[in-house]
Amino acid sequence: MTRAFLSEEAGVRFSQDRIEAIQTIGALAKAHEAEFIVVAGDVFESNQLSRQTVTRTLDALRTVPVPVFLLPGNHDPLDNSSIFLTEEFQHAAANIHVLADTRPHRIPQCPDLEIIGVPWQTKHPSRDLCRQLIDTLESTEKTRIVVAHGQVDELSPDKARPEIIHLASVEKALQQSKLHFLALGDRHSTTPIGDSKRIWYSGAPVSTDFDEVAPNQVLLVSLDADTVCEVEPLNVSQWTFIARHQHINGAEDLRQLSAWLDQIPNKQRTAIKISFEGSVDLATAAALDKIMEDAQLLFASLKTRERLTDLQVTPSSTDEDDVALSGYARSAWLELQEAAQNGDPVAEDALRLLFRLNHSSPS
Amino acid sequence: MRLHKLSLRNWRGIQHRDIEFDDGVTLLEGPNEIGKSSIIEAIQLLFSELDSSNKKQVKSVQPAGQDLGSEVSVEFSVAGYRITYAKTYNKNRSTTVHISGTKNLQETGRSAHEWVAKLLSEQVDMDLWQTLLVDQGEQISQIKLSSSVSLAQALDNVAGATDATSLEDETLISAAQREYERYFTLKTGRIKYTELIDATEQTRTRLAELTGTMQQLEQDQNQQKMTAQEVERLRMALPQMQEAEQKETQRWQKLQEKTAALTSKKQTLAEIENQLTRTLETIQSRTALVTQIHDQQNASAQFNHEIESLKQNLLQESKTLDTLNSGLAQLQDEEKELRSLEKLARADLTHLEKKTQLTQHQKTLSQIESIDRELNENLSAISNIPVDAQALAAYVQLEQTLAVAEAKAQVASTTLTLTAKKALPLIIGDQPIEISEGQAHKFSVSKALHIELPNQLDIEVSPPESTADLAQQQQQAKTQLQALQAELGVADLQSATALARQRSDREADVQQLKSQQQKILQDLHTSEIEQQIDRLTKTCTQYVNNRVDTPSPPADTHIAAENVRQIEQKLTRLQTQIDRARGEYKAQETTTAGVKQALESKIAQNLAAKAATDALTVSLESQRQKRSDASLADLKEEQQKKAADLRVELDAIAEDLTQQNVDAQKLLLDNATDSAHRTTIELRQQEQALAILNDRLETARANGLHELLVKAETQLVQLQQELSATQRRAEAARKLWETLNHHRDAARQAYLQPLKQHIEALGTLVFGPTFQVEIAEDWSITHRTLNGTTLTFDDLSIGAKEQLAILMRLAAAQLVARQDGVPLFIDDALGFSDPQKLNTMGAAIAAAGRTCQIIILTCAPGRYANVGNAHLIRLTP
Repeated sequence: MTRAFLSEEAGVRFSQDRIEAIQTIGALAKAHEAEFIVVAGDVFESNQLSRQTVTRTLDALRTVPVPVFLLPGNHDPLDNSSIFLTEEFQHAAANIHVLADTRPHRIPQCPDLEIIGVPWQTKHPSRDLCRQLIDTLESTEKTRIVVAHGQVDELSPDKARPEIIHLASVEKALQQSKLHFLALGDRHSTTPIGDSKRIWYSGAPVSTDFDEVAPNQVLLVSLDADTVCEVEPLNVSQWTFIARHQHINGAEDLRQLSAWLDQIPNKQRTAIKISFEGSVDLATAAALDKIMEDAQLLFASLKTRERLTDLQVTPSSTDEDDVALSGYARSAWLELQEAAQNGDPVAEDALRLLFRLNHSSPS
Repeated sequence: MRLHKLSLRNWRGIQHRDIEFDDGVTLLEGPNEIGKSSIIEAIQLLFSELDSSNKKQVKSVQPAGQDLGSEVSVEFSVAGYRITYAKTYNKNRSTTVHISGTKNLQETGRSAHEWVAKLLSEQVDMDLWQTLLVDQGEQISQIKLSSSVSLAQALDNVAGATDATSLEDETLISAAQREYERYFTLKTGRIKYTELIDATEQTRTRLAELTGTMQQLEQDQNQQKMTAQEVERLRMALPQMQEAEQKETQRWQKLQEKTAALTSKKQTLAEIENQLTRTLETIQSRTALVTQIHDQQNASAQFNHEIESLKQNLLQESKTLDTLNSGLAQLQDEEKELRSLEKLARADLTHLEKKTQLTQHQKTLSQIESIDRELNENLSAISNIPVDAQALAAYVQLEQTLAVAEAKAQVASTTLTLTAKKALPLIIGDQPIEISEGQAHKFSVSKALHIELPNQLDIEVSPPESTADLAQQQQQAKTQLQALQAELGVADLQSATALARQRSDREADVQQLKSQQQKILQDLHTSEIEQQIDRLTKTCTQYVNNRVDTPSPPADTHIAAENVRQIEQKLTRLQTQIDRARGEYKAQETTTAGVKQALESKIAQNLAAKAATDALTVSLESQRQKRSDASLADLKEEQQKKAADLRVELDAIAEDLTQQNVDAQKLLLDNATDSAHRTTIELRQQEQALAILNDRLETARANGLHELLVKAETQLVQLQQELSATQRRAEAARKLWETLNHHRDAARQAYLQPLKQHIEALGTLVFGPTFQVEIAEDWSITHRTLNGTTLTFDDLSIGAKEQLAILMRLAAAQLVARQDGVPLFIDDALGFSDPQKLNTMGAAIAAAGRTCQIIILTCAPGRYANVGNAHLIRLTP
């Protein structure tokens, strides 16, 4: 639903950037001489995507210079309608691998490394798939990377859910060298889990919502079976989703708002939802409207959160002087003013409209 | 705005004219075609048209036939500025403006035009200018003042409002109206953003459809998974089903083979049993044949015995029959003899009867002959008497006819009575008559009568001519009577009657004799009696000659009849005997025939028995030649043994099949077949369902349903936001528009009173102190009241309407003059007013002219003579 904030033009840009993020990740992999890339689930938003989207994604993945291992997650489970079973995937490039089961995958250039995926076969697994895998693993001297998807019990508010990943069992397996790194997907914020420093949510490479922490990143992981485990977040995308609450009580607040909006970089990839609180006169309200109208032309999205906004607009004496109404127009003004003060939102809007029309009239 | 000076050059027919206007009333007086209306025209073109204008109305101001620029220059004051504004049209086009006062400014060209235009639009109510203008030649009517901002503002001020209505206010309400009309129609208030509402609803519907499709897709996925599992299960189960079916089929085939063997052996057994049955039947048949032969032989022997016995019986019965036959024949002979005697006796009797009959005929004949002689005698006598009853009747008839004729003649003739005085001899007619003395002798003269007294007198009497016929008739009757008398030989009726009586007596005798004769003869004729006598005579003679001698003939008929009776009695008795004997004979004959028939039957039976015996014997021998009795017995034993063996085998097989429970095995086979078949069909159905589901899932995947859903969700959110914002803006616009209108309408109501007061103040000068008007909401005059009489505006005279229209303008000009106002031009008006009204209208104009600028153009000298403060300018060529 996040994209509902975006205009059609910004929505197109957002979709395109998500494709281009793949190419960026490929470039980062090349720049940092990564051996391979794993995507820990939710490669796609859904299994019900158009061929165009799948084809473009695969085409972008094809250009990545290293092997890419894709794990089916809860959004794109490996069920009977899985996108990974489509004809497009059957003819995907050789560097693209789907972790369709828990068999180890190896790459020639890393003979001492194996990658094991824990794919979601359905949207609603009935058990902790990760633990199910770990119970079958033996300790190994090879570097074993497990790629899994889902919430860990440490972070989940509902620990009773059957598919929740039992963190303790993973950490125990790490200690037993049954695996050496658990690459997790599902959480859009880049997040280390536990104390081992070997369990990470990489986060979304392209931010998708307002409540994400440190999104737009991928993790560069340097790893061996013994001691080395270095994780470095790398920026991929510049999309930003900001939710803000702004107090407006006068011209100073307007200046602060303008300054804050001005300092935001890459405005065309920034979506803002903002709520206001305060009490202003018509002139200030009109100025606020103007600031918002102007800024909306710059940002991918700039929306007022009406539900959270509590901005009292009350005409001041300055407003009255400003509009300089006489005769029946003044009588109308006074009636609307009284109704607005009595909490009639339509009267308040009418008053603001009158103020605006009066100012837009030739003088 | 105040006009101060006007200068025209080369303007239509005006070569050059300068006019200075008074701040109050300026009266421009001049004849027609002097160019009064050109003054107003020049000012209007100056304020509205660029010098570059090629409009027809601009070109038309160029002097005819002269290629000259038409110049107009106006000096006026407005908003604290004193402005000299000049333009040259059509030739040497130019525009200049010079502003003095609060600031000095010189502009030329288009900027000069735009500067003045902006100033006028902001500071001068040009609409009111046009409204107040009373143009030449137009009928003055009420003007629509309600759209005048200046007048409204002026009225507002006069009405005592806290702030004056400004031009900005009207601009504001126009803007509010435009804003309102962005969302609603002005007239009906209908929403205009229905497309947005529809688009939102359509998107909502589309989203609901897609959500439904997505839910269906999820159901399809679940169904596809279950179907795939079911297909897999069925694929696994099907070979097992087919294997089980195959095993059951094999078992069933073995059972079928055994069943077939059982059936085959049953058929063999049935055949053998049939053969055995036929053998036993053959043996039984042969045994029966021997028995039949034996029975036939015994029967034949019995028949022979019975035949012999019957032969004896027949012989005995035949003898009895012969005896009876002899007796019968004897009786029949006796009967024959007796019948001969009977015949003779009857012949004798007949002879004697014929003989008696002959005698009777002869006697009768004798009587007849006697009667004939007497009859002939009478007939002879009759023939000698000529008077019979008929002649007598004719005679009587003629006498009567004569008497009638004489009576008629006497009646019709002249009666002549001759009375003799003395005895006289007369000859009357031819008859001499002696008449005695005193005798009167009458004559009926029916014809000429000659009476002669001989020698003394001849008298000729002639009857009338009509009596001649009567006399002739009388004579004719007399003649006829005389002829009859002569014929009958009588002289008178008496003698005729006597003769007739004699004849009648004779005829009665004849009749009696004939009756006797008839009685004797009856139906016979004498000749017939004679013939019978001859025939009987011959017969009797012949019988006597031919009769046998014995027995002797009876003496008489009685004896003969007795003979016949006696013989008949004998015959009756004999006949009884004969009948009895014949019955006995018949019975015996029947008995004998029965014995004979029985004998013949037995003989036939015996022959048949013998023939049957022969045939049976031949058949038996024939069969024995084909198969002997011993061989047949051997065959029976052999077949019985085979049948017994087969039954043992069949029992064994049946027992085996019973043990294996064929029905149950068939049920198992059917169940296995059905299960495999059902599983096959089910698998096919599930595979088809799976293919359909896969196809639907693939189609849904290819359609990018998720993206469509996201897109629809996005569109809906955006449309809802847009609709919400639009509705909010629309409601605000409506609120503002309605509120502004409400207050403007209320304010306009307040304007009416000052306008009414100004009109009535001026009107009192014209119409007197009772003058009152009623003002409508659009500020038009609806009624005028004068001396207590109220008339609608339309009911007023043309002159009164014109006067009220001028007064309304004057009032409006007065009201707006307090805020600069606009000059009021009156071009050639009040043409319908009488001198008194011209006088009072002049006072009203003068009163108004104290506060506003009024410019009057007229071609009628003296029409405005009563405008006391007017600055008169006489226009001359």
